[in-house]
Amino acid sequence: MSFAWQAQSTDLPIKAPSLFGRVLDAELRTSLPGATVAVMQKGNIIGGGITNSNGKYAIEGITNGLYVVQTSFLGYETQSDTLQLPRTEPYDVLLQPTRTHLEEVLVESLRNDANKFVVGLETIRAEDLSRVPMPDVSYDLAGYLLTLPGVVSTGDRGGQLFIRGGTPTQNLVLVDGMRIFQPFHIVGFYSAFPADIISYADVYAGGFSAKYGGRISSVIDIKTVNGSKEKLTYSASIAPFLSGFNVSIPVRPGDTSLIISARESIIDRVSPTLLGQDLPFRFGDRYLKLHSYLNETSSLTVTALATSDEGNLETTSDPLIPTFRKSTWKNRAYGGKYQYIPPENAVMTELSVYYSSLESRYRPTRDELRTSDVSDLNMNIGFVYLLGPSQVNFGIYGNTNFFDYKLGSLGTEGHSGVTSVGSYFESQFNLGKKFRLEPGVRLEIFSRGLKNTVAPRGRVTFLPGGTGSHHQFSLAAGVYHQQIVGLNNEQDVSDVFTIWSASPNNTPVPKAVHLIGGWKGRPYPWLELTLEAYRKNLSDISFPVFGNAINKVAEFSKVDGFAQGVDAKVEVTRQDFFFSLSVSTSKVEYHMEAQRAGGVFRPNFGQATLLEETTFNPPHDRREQVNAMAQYRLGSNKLSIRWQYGSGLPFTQVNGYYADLRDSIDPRNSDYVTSVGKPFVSRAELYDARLPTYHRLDITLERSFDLAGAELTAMVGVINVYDRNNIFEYNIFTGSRIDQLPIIPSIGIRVDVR
Amino acid sequence: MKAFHHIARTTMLATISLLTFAGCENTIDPIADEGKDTFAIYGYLDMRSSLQKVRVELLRPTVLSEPLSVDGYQVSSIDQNDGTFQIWKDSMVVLSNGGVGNLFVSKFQPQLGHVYSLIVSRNGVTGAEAIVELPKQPEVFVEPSVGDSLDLSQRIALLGATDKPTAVYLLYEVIPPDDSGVKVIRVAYGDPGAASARGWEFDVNLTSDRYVIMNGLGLNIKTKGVIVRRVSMEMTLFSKEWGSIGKETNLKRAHGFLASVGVFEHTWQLDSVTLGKMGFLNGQIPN
Repeated sequence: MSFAWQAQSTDLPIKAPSLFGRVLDAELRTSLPGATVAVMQKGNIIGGGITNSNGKYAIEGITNGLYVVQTSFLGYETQSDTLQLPRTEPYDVLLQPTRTHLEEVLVESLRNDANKFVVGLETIRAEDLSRVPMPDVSYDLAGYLLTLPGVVSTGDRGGQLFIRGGTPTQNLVLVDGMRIFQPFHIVGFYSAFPADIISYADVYAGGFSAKYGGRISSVIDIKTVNGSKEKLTYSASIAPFLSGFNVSIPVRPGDTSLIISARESIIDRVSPTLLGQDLPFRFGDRYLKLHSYLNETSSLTVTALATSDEGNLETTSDPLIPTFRKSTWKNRAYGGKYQYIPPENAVMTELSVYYSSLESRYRPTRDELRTSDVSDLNMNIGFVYLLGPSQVNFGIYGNTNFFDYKLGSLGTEGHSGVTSVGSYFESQFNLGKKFRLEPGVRLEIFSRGLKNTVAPRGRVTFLPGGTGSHHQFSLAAGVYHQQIVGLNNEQDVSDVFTIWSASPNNTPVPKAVHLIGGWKGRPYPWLELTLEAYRKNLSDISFPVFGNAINKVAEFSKVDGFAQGVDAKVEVTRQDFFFSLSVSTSKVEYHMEAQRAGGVFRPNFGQATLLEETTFNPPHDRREQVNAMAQYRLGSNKLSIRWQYGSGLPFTQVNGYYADLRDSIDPRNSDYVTSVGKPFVSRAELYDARLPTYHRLDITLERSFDLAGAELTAMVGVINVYDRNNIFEYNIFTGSRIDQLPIIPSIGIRVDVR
Repeated sequence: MKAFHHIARTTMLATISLLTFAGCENTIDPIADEGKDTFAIYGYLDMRSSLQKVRVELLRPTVLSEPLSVDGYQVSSIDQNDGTFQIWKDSMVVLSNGGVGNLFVSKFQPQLGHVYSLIVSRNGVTGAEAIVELPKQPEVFVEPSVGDSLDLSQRIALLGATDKPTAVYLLYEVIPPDDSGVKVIRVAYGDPGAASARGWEFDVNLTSDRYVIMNGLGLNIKTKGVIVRRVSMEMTLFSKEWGSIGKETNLKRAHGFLASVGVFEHTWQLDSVTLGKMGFLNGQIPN
C-alpha cells in the first residue's frame, strides 16, 4: 500500500503513459476515485498512481518488462494481475466490494504503514507486551512503557510516569478515546487496564498531531480489541500480585461481541508470607466492551472501565514511620462510539461521547483528609478521508470538566467547571517520492477566563531512497497548551495526590513547544536502529514550593524550562530471539524568576512566600537511562530478561531541622524562652544532590502446555534478581530511607480457552 | 549473521560493564555539608532589661531527633560602637512540653543606636553570626500648642524616624494642691501617628490629658492649683527586623530571628500659656 503518490488531477499526463485506465466498482460499474494502482517487480514497488475523480489513472516511466499490477481501494478486494509493460491499451480494473465490515478495512488501512517512521511515536502491539518480565503471568502496558527510552518512573509504586521531561499530569492517556486521569495502579508494574484488552498503543513521547489536545508532554493512545464474534473465549490467571479473568462472548454471533474483564490484587494478603514484609496495596480494575457491527457500513462500541487503588506508599518496616499516609483513587470511564463509512466514499465518520472521572483521597495525617474529584465529558465528531496514501483528518469537539477539591488543614477548597469547544485539522500527503508532509492545527475556545489557543503542528518524513528506503528521517514540531492542570507535590514521591482544576483565569496556561528529529534504519531485516533527539521548551509550569514548615504544601511557583535529550534504540528480532537495548541521555531544567508564590489555583494570596530567582533540575531529571531486554523461545518455553538502569534523580539535601519560634516571639513577653515551636526544615541548594543510581534485573520463565482446547501457561520468575536496594524515598521524619520492592519470587498460572 | 553475532557480543559486554559499574554506590547523604554547624537563633536584645536572652539550637539531623548538645560552643557579643565584649552564659531551660532548650544569657543593657554582633563559635571558629542594631535615638521636634482650653493639642515630630513608635506614654510629673507630694501620671497613647515628610508625627491632646491627670489625682476637673513640674514622653522602638519576620534575615549560617527593642524618653517644657489653658500652674524645672 505504501508507494509514491502522484498528484491527483483531472489533467492526466500528455506524455504516453506506461499504464493507464480506469478503476470501477465491479457491481455498480461506477468509477472509484482515490483507488491505488501499484506496479511491482520482485516484490518491490516500481511505480504507482491514484485514480482521479473519474476513476482514471496513468503511470509513466515504467521500463519494458513483466510486472505485477496491484489495484486496491478501501472496501474492495485487492486485485493483482501480471502484465507486460509499457502497455498501449487501457487497463481497466473492476474491484469487487469487500465482504468484510468496512470499519475493519479502514482501521487496517489506517494502520498498515508498519514501516512508516514517525518520530516521537512508539507503537506497542499486544505481542510486544509479552517480552517484559512481570511478577505475573499476565503482561502489562505499564511494564513495557518503562522499557521505552525517555520514560522515567520515580519508583515501583505510585504509578507516576514522566515521559521525556513531562510530568504525569502532562500525559494524555486515552483508552478507546476515554481520558483516564490516573492510568496506572498504585503498584507501578500495572496499568489501570489489563493487557488482554489491548490491540495496540501509540505512545507519543512528543510531537503528537493536532487530533490530540489538552496535554503538553505526551500521549498514550490505547486501542482495545473487539471481542470474538464467533465463539466464546476466556482466560484466567492466578499470581501473587494480580489475578483476573477475561471473557469474550459472541452476543450475536458474527455481529456483536462482549468483553468482560476483571483483575484484583492479592499482594496485600500474601506479601507477609511471600516477602516477609507488608505491602498494603490493594488495586483492581473492571472492564467491559460491547462492540457491534450494525451493518456492513457502521458499528457501535460501548465501553466502561472502573479502577480502584488503595495503599500507603510510604510502606516500611520502620516502626517510627507513621502508617496513616494513605492514598486512594478511583477511575471511572464510560463511552460510546458510532462509526459510519459510506460504501461509495473512503470517508469514515465517527461520533463519540465519553465521560470519565477520578476520585482521589489522601490522608497526610490520621486526622486530615484531602479530596480531589475531577470529571470530563467529551463529545467528538471526527472525519477521516482516506485518499490513497494521503489522508485528511478533521474533527470538532466539545469538552466539559468539573473540579472539586478540599485540602483539609491547608484550608483551600474549590468547585468549578470549564467548557471548551474546538476543532482540529491534520493531513498526510507525499511530496514526490522522498518526502511526506503532515501539517495540522488545533483550535480551542473556552467558556471563561482562559485565552483561546491555536496550536500549529507538523511533521516531515524524508526517505532518501524513496519508497522502501532502509533509512528514514523524520522531523516533528508543534505547539501544545494545557488548560486543565493537575498539581501535585512532585517533591514528595510518596504523595501522589493530585488536584485537578482549570488554570487560573487570565493567567498564562502551561505551554510547550516540541521539536523532535530522528532517524530509523533497517540495515538488515532483523535489525532496527532508531535515534531521536528532542527539545521541549516549557513555560508557565506550576511547581510546588518548598516551605520551611513540615507537611505544608499549599504554595506553587510558575517556572519555565526545557527538556532535551537523545534516545537511541537497537532492536534485534529473530524467529526465536528478541533483543532490544535502549540508551537515553537527557536533561530537564527549570528556571524560576523571582516571584511571590501562588496558592493552589490562585495567582497570589496573603502571606505567600517570596521566592528568589533560581535554576534547578526537577526531581524527574534522569540524565542517563539504559533498558536491555531479551527474550528467547525454545519450543514451548520462553525466557524473558530485562535489566534497567537509571542514573540518580535529583533531590534536595537538608541542612537540618529546628524549632521555629517566630509565632511565639513577642517584644511584650518572653514566651519564646520556653516555647516548643514548630518543626521547620532548613534546605540546602534546590535539587543539588542526586539519589543513588537505579538498576534492577527481572527474569521470568514461562512454559505453555496444550490441554484439550485450552492453553495452560505456567510462569516462574524473580523480580529484582540481585535484590538491589533501589531507593524510593528518604523519610524526613526519621531520617530513614524507604526502598523499592526487594527481590520478589513469583509464580503464576494462566489458562486460555480459545 | 556475522553482524548479528558482533552486535549481540557488544551489547552483552556493554550490559555487563554497566551492571558492574552501576552496582558500586548505593548510599544517600541527606544532610548537606553546609548544614553542619548551622544554628537556629531566636531572641532579641532588650533595652528594657539588664539581662539579655537568646535561644540557640544546633540543627538536628531529623525532625524526631532530640536537640543536639551545644557543649563546646560559645555565644558572645560585641558592641561595635564601644568594643565591649560579652561572653554569654549557657543555661538549660525547661520548655512548655517538659523538654529542654539551650538558653544563653548575658547581663548588660544595650544602648540606643549601638550595633551588636552576636557570634556562635567553637574553638575560636565562628559558626553563626548575627548583626543587630538597636533603634537610633530620634530627634524630637515639639511644635507650639494650638487651640483653646476646650481643644488644646501639640504636635510631636520624630525627625527622620521611619518606624512607627509603639507603647507611647506621656508622663506628667505633678504636685496636687493639697501638697501631698510629687506624683507621676502616665497617659497611654498606644501606637499613635503617621509617617510624614519629616519622619513620624503625632498629636498630644492636652485637653484630654488634663482629664486623665485630674482623674488620676482624684480631683474634680475644676480644681485649681495643680502644679506641673515636668512633662516627658516615653516610647518603645523596635528594630527593623520586627517588620520583616520571615522575609529578610540578619543571620549568617543560622535560621531564626534576632532583633532588638529600644526605649526612648524625651522631656520638654510646656509654656505658661499652654499650662494656663490646661488649668495648671507652671512649676517646671528647666532641663
